[in-house]
Amino acid sequence: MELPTLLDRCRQGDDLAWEAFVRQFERRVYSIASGYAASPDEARDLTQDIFVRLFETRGRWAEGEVFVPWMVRVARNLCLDQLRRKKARPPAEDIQADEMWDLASPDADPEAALEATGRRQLVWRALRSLGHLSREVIQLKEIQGLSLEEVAAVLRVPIGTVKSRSNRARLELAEQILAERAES
Amino acid sequence: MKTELDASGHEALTRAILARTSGNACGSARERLCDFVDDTLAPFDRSLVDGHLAHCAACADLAVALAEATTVLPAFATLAPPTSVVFDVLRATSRRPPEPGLGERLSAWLGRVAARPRFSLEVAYVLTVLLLVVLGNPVAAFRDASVRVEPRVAAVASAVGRPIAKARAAGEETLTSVGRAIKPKAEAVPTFAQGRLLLWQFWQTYVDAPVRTVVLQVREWAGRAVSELRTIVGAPAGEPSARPAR
Repeated sequence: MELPTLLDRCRQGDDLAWEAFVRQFERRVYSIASGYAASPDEARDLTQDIFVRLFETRGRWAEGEVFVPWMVRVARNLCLDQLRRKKARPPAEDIQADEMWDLASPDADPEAALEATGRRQLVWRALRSLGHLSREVIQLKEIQGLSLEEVAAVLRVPIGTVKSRSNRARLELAEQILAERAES
Repeated sequence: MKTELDASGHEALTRAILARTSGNACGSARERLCDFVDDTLAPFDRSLVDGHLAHCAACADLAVALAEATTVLPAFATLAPPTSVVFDVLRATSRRPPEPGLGERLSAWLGRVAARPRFSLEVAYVLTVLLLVVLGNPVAAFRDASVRVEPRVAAVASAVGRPIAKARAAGEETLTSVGRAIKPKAEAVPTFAQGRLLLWQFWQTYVDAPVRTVVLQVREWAGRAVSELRTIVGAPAGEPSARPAR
């Protein structure tokens, strides 16, 4: 399904196109939300809120190729808003839910799938132990695959800053992976 | 005597030389490690990093971890939620009308603002400020009020003072004549009852009628004084009194 056509249909108010859009981007949006949420349930709620926001503003969606970076920016801003509200109203108890994320590998070979899943969990734990800035730049550039220019536009910082921040964050992540591995 | 160094000896010597010259090169290697893993490094720089990694276990481990992360991270771009959000999103958006226009949003915002308890106070404050800006300082109109009022007050004092002085003179005259008339009669009163009758006759003749005349006169003067005061304060002549007339 071509994205520009799908976006056009959504803008025109085609419910079926909207459903297809939600199905197409559900996992991606959930992934973005999970970068900011403390638990899978919170990420799920954030995902819903992001889609509702997208639906409400469907008349003003960005066109063509810039849609995905634009959507990532919308999702990020909404997540940050929620994060700020949450800071104002901290949860009653700490949520330690890293093990609850579904990181299973879809590999057909069970042995390979197990190994891949273990590697994913290791990287995921290391990623979630990073600071907010490092995690965010990794989320945008390495995970969502945005270009340096797009990340710079989302974060509203110069490209050089994105580049240096990204390198620093990746090295920090690698060090954290080594530390996690040494612990386990 | 052994003159050639083995591998570990060479390594130790290199480290010793580096320690006395440029220092540890790990920092420079790590600066280029991301580009090394991404394969975006120039060939010459790549060979330099390769050379460092061959002799530095810490940086080599870091490079391996970095490569592992680079491979795994894109898999997180699509994570499966615990349960699909599609149904909930469709339920939340299916009957939701498109975003309202500017007018409707403005109206809704005004409604929310007006519902706040302090709204009336804020409106009063803003209107007061606006009135001050548009009309100027209202106190300025009273700056020379004392100068303007002074002659009016003098006129009122003169208008009221004259009748009061006349009333006072009339009263004194009445009292004197009453005293003069009562004195010889009172000396000749034989009984208490006759005395009381006599007093009543005196009252009717010398006190009641003149006092009534004075009261009427004072009332007329007071009316004039009030109308003069109304002229000063600018109230209309026919304005009803705050108190009901008795």
